Amino acid sequence: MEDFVQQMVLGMMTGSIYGVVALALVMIFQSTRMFNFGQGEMATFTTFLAWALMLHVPYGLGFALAIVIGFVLGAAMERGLIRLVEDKAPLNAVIVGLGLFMVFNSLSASVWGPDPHTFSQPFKGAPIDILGITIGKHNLYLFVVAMLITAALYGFFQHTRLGLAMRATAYDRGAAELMGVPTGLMLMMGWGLAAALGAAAGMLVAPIVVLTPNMMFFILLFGFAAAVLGGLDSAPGAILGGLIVGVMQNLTGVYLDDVVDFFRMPFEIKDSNQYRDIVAIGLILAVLAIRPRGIFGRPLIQKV
Amino acid sequence: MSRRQASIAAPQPWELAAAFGAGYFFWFLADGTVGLVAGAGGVAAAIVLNRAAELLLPARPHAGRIVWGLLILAFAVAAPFISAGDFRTAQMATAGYVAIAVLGLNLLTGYTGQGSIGHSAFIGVGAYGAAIMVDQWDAPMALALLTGTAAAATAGLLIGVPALRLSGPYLAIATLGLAVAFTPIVKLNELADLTGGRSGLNLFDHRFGPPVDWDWLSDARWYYYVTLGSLIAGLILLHNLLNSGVGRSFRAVRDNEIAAGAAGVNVPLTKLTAFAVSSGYAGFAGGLLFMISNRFISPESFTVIMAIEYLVVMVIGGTASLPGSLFGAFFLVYAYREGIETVSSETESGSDTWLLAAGLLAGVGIMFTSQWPAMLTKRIAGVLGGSQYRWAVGNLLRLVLAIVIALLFVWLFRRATEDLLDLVSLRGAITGAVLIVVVLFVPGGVASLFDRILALKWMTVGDWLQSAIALKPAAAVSEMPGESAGSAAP
Repeated sequence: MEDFVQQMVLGMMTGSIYGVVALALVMIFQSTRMFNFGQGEMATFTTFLAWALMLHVPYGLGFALAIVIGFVLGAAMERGLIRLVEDKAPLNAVIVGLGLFMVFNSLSASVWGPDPHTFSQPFKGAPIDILGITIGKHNLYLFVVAMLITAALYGFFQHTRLGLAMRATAYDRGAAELMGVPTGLMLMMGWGLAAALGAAAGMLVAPIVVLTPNMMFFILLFGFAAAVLGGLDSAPGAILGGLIVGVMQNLTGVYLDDVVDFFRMPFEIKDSNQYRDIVAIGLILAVLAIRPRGIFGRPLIQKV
Repeated sequence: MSRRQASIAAPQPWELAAAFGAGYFFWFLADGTVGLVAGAGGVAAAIVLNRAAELLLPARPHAGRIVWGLLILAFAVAAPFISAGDFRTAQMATAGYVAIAVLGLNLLTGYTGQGSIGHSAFIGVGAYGAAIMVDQWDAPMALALLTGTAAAATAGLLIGVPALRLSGPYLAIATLGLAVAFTPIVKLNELADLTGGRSGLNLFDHRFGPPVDWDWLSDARWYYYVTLGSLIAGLILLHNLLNSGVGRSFRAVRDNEIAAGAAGVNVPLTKLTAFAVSSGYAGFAGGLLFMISNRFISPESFTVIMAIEYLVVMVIGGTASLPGSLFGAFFLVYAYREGIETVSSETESGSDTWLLAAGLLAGVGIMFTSQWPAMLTKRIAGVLGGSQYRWAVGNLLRLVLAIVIALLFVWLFRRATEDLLDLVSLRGAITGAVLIVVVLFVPGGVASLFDRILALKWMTVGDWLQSAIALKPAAAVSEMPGESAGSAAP
């Protein structure tokens, strides 16, 4: 039982990163009704920049600077590129996202090479013990920061005028425009914020999965899984979805062979670990097939 | 010869470009002057025949097109004999199966509007299907290919059912998940007996030799002809399909699903057909991939990067366009994979020709098609040379500035690639940038430019040149015919 709780907690730690990425995706979806498939690669690029910065400045300063750079990058993308495809067919937006994916992936690989880099960790050392559960220091730090980011964003969006303006722009751009909200600026900030979130996620996860150009690739995919599961219209859904995906992944990786034995299924599984990613992706497909709006999302109504 | 006859006889701009292009391509293929002569000479012969057809058969306006079609076919059939060796022949065969895969993707995404980033999974199913048939039951080539195709088409149907209710970005996510899931599923230890698990299937020793034992028909050439034949058959099939009622229902679903349903189109059946046929094409291409890449495939051969690459070149070549898909395939094999490596290795070994050419192109492009250099240099030239020499001095200034830009570009590039950047890895960035430019400014892809290029006349080219070197004010410049997106404001 203790082992089970341990695995659940570990899953929640990884899940919090998926939640942060999902939050970024949901933010962009809410404001521009499109997905940025290049989100992960932009985050990787910013993480590489942070790595380069941290060779010269301390961790905290490098972290903050990278967040700012990520913000500027995202805002620039929106203003320069996305503005041009917003009102066109949705397929165009997907393709522009893929174009950004290729550009940033290739830039990262070109400048820093395909070999893994070590990203500095602020908390090193032996794992600590809380209530009988062993948690790595960095994992705990990661979880706490992710929750802090979520709380901060919640406070920002619910209790500040700027957050209100951004929510208004996402909900009904025309009406917001009429109420005097500078919607163009709000969209830029939305994208900037999402990119900053992605950068934070990248920097938090880099010490664990080692910094390579393809680092965020699977994490982005699981971020999609979390966003879809939680509901693309809902920010708390994104976090919850992330936690669920992380927990499911971990539990599958450890217990799937036992589950198969328990139900006496006609086949045998020797190594559950292989099924971690498959299960997470299966979750995306299942959610999309059964209940595309996710847990908290609003049903998609198409006007004819 | 009358003036009209002379104007018919003279080669059009695009024909000259085609001669140049064919000459270069075949020079590259043959690695020698034989190719150059063959390419340029063939196009010249086609131009002559085209004119002959126009003059002798005025009642048949399509005769010219038939001539060009026959020329392309002749080139395709003769290519293995002009090529420098088995590697180049295999490369052309690769372009062939990539074209088949991109045609399938175009059917699904371009003509039916179902944006899919999962094509690599279907290609993988086809490849593994063919490979398993060979591995387990020693199947002959045709049977293996057919099994791969059938397996992929079935997979497409299975995916198509849940995909019926998905659209746009949701479908993209679902297919992305599919493409990513393919690799770990194939790697599963539980399936390793069948799929070879992590290390893939290596059936290199298994030859699919040609049915007749002719001296000149090496294995590579045999694969090439199989691929060529399949590509032609696939093109004809797709062309007929798209011009039939089924094809119209594809387009109807793409343009407005709800309206199509209201008009009586069976939308689910149409979508499922699109998925099945598209995956079938992908599976066939996968089987060919298995054969041509030394009968070795592994789970890592079919990643989502492949799916993205195919989607990207499809868009660059032209969504919803059959010749566009062919162009896209050529772009992938010859520009994306081969071209950048050639440029990179030549640049690294010290040759600045490519860089200088690119820089000059950029410099001339900026200086002579934008309005601000014209206005700026007009002012300066007015100050320097007085009003009668303004034109000459202005153009000289622009030329000098263009050369400066070119040299700056070369210098910057050299500095950057020395310590910072690696050109070969940048090919993704370059292709991504090309893709974004295409999506924003040339929505139909390169194929949409074909019509404009074919209609280009010398007079238009002359007019455009004249407007470029004239230091006219902005309003007159933008009225010039044949102007492209260079001066379009967003």
